[in-house]
Amino acid sequence: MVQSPERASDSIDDLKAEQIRLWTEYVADTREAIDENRQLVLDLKQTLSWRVTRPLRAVRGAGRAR
Amino acid sequence: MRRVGSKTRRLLLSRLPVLMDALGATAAPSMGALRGIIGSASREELWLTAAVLTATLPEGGLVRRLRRLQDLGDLNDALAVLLESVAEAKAPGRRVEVLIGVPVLDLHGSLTGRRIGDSEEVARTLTSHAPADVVQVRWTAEHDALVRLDAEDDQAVLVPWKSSYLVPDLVDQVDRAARAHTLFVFSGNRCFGVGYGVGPLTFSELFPEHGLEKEVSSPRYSWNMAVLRASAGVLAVSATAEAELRGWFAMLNALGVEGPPIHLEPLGLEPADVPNASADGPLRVLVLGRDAAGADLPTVVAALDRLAADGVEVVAHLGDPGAEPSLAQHPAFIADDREGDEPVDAVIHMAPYSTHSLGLDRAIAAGIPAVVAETGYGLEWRGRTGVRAVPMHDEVGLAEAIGSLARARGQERPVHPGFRSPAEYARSVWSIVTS
Amino acid sequence: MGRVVRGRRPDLNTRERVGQALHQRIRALYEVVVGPAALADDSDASAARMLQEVLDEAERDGGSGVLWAAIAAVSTVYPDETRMLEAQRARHSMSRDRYFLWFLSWSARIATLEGSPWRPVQFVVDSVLVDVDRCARYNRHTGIQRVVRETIPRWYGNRSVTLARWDFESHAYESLPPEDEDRVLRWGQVPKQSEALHLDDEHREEPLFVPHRSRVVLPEVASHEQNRLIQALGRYSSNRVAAIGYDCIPLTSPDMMPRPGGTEFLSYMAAIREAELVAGISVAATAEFRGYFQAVAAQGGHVPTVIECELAVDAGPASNSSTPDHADPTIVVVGSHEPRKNHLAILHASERLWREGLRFRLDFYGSPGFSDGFDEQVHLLAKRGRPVAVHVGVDDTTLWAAYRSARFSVFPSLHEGYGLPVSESIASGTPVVTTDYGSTREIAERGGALTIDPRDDAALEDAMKRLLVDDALLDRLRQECASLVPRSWQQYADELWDLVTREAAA
Repeated sequence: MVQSPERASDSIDDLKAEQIRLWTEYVADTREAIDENRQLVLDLKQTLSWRVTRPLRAVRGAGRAR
Repeated sequence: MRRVGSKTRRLLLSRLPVLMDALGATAAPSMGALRGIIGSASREELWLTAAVLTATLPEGGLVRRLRRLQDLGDLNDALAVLLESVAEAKAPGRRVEVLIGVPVLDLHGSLTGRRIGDSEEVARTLTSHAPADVVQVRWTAEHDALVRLDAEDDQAVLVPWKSSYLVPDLVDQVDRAARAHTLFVFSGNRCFGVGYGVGPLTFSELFPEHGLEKEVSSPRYSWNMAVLRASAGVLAVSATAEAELRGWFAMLNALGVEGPPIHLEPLGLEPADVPNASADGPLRVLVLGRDAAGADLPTVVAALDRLAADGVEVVAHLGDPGAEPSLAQHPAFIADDREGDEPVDAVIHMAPYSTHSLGLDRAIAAGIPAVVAETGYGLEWRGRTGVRAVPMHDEVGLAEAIGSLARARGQERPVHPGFRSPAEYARSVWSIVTS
Repeated sequence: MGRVVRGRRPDLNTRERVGQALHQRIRALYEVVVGPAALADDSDASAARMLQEVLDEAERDGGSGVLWAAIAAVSTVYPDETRMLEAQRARHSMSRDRYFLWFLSWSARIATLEGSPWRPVQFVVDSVLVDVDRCARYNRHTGIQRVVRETIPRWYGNRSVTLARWDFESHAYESLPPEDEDRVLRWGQVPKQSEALHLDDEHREEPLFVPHRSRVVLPEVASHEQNRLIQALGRYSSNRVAAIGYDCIPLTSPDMMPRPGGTEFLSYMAAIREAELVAGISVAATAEFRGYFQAVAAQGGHVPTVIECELAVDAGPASNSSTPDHADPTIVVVGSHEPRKNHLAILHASERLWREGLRFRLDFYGSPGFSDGFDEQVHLLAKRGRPVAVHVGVDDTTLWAAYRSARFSVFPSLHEGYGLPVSESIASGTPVVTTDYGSTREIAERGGALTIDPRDDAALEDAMKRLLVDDALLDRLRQECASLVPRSWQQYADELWDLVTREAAA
């Protein structure tokens, strides 16, 4: 995201202000993407543990019943 | 107390003659004779008894326990404790030999490749210039006993008695150190260690391999210092190491212990021919050090980048092929391709922490100018002709120092301060250890 | 199982939240470093101008304090040494304008991966910030926690103090939630809360603290994760760090510690190496830290000043000394059961005295530590009919009653930073047999105690015997105990405050 200070069309002050805006966008968007992925992973874990543990519990419960 | 079987009793009795022989006892070996030995043994003799009969070097708890049972006159209980320890040692096939009145050199640290500072070179030198009757030893795989260095298995264990014992490198594996600590405290042998300073405990961030890992099995430098604390003397590798050890031993007041005597014994050097420095072409520098503590490669790289930007031609060689791999790949370096004795124009010693550097000594002995960081061993050389000192981590200062070396090429040579030879070093150390 | 603390996410979209927070942080930074930002608006251009002025000031400043604050405020992560050097080197190697762009791009990566970029900052300026992380989060209440919970509330009332805990999500200090504050300031006065799991700490909205020109006080042993950053705070920021120095047992006595042990302590010592002041809790602890820093100083760099500020001791809750329900005198031993406390020596000396025909009870009070054969030995003696008992998890009232009803107490510890049971015994009027070196000797020298070499079983036995048979000696020591005025927590808190807030020596 670093912009070259030599970019002809902008004054250096405009470039710096632009960099502040880019900071916000980059951080917010990347962070959001990371958080979404994290949520995805959490959901996946939840699903997997549900799929694995529910049958297991059923088996254990059956064992106790006997 | 747990009951032990007749096998254990037979095992103990089979080792008893070795013990009695070492103690000069004349009675026939029997449980009754052993009872008599325990009843009158000194603390050192109790240590020997435990070591020989269990075929391990005991930990302190066992020796203290035997001592207290002896004090109470509960000799049958003491026998029972010994039998229990023989069973627990799980070393039924081991034979025991007592080493009486010889110098013992513990080279286990060198075998395992664990090192600090110039410990490899120290161990090598003390090995190749050892007294004729020296016994070189290593520890068993279980870290519970000593065997000869060249032993093919761990069955013939050694117990030093009225001997001198020298550790040239580190005793920082916890299980081994606990037994070595007991050996140093209780055995009556004269035990010595080489003091490299206490960097892993004062600048731990620079020594991640010396105790920051949380695994139970990982080595602990604090244990190395606990062993040294109980020694008859520590051989400091430099004035800086000596100063660190003095500070460390001052701490021991809180546990009612005075530290051992510290002997300043810097490592020797082979006399070096002074090579011809190149008169023109790029300045050739050798970057000393291996790790975060010894090299500070980020600073060196930043300085080399500055010099390149300023058009100063420098060729940098990495002195240690094991140096930080990520930075060693930097285009500023010509890694590991210095051929034999090809001369360099200067050495760089930017160690953020150091107590000694054989590489720096060698350069100065050869009349090669040096740039050193203003820390530790670098401070011992600051202000000498041919040595430029710059603050730690200061890439601007380092670039300026290298630049000025490039300009003043061949005009400044360090004055040889007269290093002693490795043989002289070893002679001096061994005379302290065996006196 | 503890509660799960759930934060709340406001309805702003992420860009708006992050943008607002960044503007707030730059403005706060500007106001601290440069001056009032009265004319600044909320535009990116205004934020850019302010940040540029701060970076200019960082360069003019000569030190590194402004740079440290700028990195902390913009990225929301306190920098470690590597980052400080990286930022300094970048400035050395590029133009002012290019460096500005580099700084933002670099801090964006840090904020994204390690920070909490939606959080505002609160600067703590020319003030005192106290790290009470562990006392705030956890209900543990032994040595160090007792010191913190006695001292910090006495500071808090009428002095400018900011309490902080470490935010492990953003790697910076933050304020305490109310229940955490209770654990520090109102321990024992409000019902004990269960420890929160803090699973959703990343959604906290409260400001992160950035201390500036302040004292950062470490009354606890800081945790491994934060030590690297506290080290850089001490070395590079404009703040001055002060720590309480308890002892160096994990470093010098690994043979008396659980194995392997000591890992956290190593990084803590590396952090306080960069402090300005360490306040040792006894003369012995002070000497121990001085020795350590003497070793550090051999490398030629900065070391803290170590000054003694002796701990206080409770006088104990007022109660009538309970009459023992047995005729034999009682010897009391207080302390956890671990090799360092040397309890096996006490059992040995007692057994010899019992065999000699002396009659007394031996009562141990203290938590189980780790095994050195203590339990087995107690079991063995009990089987022989010896009157020995081990009391675990007793409350303070029971403990003080035990001190008061004992004939004397025994504390032959091999290594202490202070030795609270020695002071407590004397404060309750009961003589004590203790170690003849270190901090316990210091306390003993004022009276009410016999000292012995703890590694000499015979000396310990002899001292215990004298106090069992020699009533005149016991009475003399009791009178000495009664004449001593225990040092109060108020005294300790006041003296420690004076130390940590005094101006640095020129």
